[in-house]
Amino acid sequence: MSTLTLRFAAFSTRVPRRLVVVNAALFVVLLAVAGSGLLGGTYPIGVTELMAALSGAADPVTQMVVMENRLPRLLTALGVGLAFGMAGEMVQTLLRNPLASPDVIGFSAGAGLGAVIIVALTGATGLVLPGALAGGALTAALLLALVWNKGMNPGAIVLVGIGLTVTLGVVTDLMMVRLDANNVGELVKWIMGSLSARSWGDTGLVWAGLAVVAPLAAWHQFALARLTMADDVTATLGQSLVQGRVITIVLAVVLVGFGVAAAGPLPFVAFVAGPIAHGLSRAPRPTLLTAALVGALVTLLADHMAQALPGFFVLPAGIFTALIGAPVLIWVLIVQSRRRRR
Amino acid sequence: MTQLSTKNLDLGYGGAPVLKDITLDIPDGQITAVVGPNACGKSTLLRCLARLIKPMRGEALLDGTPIHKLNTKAVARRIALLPQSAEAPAGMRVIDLVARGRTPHQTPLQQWSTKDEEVVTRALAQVGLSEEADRPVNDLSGGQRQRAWIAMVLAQDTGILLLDEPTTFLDLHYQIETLKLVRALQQDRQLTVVMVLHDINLAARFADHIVALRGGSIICQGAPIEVVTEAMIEAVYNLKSQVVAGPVGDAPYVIAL
Repeated sequence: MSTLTLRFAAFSTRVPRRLVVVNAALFVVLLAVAGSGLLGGTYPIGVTELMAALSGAADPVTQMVVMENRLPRLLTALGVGLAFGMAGEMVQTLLRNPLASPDVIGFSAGAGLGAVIIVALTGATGLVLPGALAGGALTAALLLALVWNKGMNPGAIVLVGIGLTVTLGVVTDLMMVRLDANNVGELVKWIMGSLSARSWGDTGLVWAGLAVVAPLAAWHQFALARLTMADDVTATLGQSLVQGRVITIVLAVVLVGFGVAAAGPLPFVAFVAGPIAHGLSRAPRPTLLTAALVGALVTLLADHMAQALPGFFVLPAGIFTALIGAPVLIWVLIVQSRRRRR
Repeated sequence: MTQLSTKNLDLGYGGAPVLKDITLDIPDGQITAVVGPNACGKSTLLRCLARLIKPMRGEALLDGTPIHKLNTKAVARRIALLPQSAEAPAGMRVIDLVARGRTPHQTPLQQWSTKDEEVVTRALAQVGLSEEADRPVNDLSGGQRQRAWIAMVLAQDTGILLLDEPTTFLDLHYQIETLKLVRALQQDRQLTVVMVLHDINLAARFADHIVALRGGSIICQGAPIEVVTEAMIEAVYNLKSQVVAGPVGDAPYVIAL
């Protein structure tokens, strides 16, 4: 059989074998990429030195490079990638359209603007998380209000969402022009997304968010899977449509809010994770774990690219996630238009 | 009183009601066919029995309790609906689809109990798709696909089965095959089946009880032999016809003139 059945005590589930293999492979690749990130780079570190640094016994320079620079940066990238990948898969599954990911339909831009406004108002970064969460939530609420009379029509949500993303971008630009130059450097992070100079504070932020939301998302995956059927089928199987949709959007907004607060929007990570995950696993949506792992991998690779450039040529990781995302966007558009023609 | 009934039911989608003052007892353990011209409210009635639309007035009752006052999941364990021309999500295999029928018996932790596996295996065998379990639903032929959906509602393990035009978009061959399967399953599991059918001759042949609607009201109901008459065809479809004794059992057969 191509399906594994897992049963222990009051728990039971069935998973396609291929999905298990894909998840395991992604996990291994992720570990390898993470490991190479800790060891390589402009200041190569050996495995023994790395181990020493992790246990606090290395020389001060290595100690600082690993513990203050590389490790928080790596863990932040991992956490943010997991969060964006999961959020993307949730919204794409709910709206049955890969274009409907939180970074395409404005949730990320809203969270980024929320963060920028809070920093501009308070002059500090302490309240970035509530700002990002509020920005994301307000954007989601505005989007749903604008398309309310069209039901949950995915086409309308994507179009209105892209419009919102552009509008929010303009508002953000306007804010930037008004702010004094000292703040702008720091603010770029919440506009473009960046992983450079991450602190343990950012790491703690995104992982705290994951610790709360990931278990809820795993629980909600059961209901989300049922929401992929026609509405009448979902309802007669005993699932509440409204409740399922609201929970999905709320969880996605919270994940995006935490991710954006820690590293900015990182465009296209949420968008590419789901299509790549399903291209690999060929399993029906949703596969939250697979999409989260792909999101983390894409984020780490983008950050590798950002770090591989010579020092005078510093670009934020968000540029590179966009570089990875653009071809996938074109691929999705081609596949969709081909399907429509058939 | 029967398990499923309606009392003074008015149904609609805002505006004027599509169905007016429908009082109906669905016979237990039999196949009821709802027939009538387009837009007579057949599917609307079925959707109300499935708890998908709320009555404007009156009640749809399950064992005497208004369906809309019952919990969604509780209703899903008693009543299953096969909607018209349902589509499976991309990549879904036959067994995944049939397993979805177990939803009202499952929780996020308990997603594939031994009971689930038994019920799904039996449903697949009864519709003759055991061999196709691992194939993608969208690769199946039209007739097989319809059987996969029937297996899904069987896996829901309810006593009441609602089918909304189960033969639409099927070739004649598959139409007969599908309705024979419904009859076999109904007898094997002692199901109460309500199906909306376009074709009065298929209804006369495969149903025990026919409810004929027109313009939002019940014109007549009863056993096919009593109900399917030239006068009834005239009243319901506005059509001159001759009704003859069909070749199968005592089912009457309508020839339009």
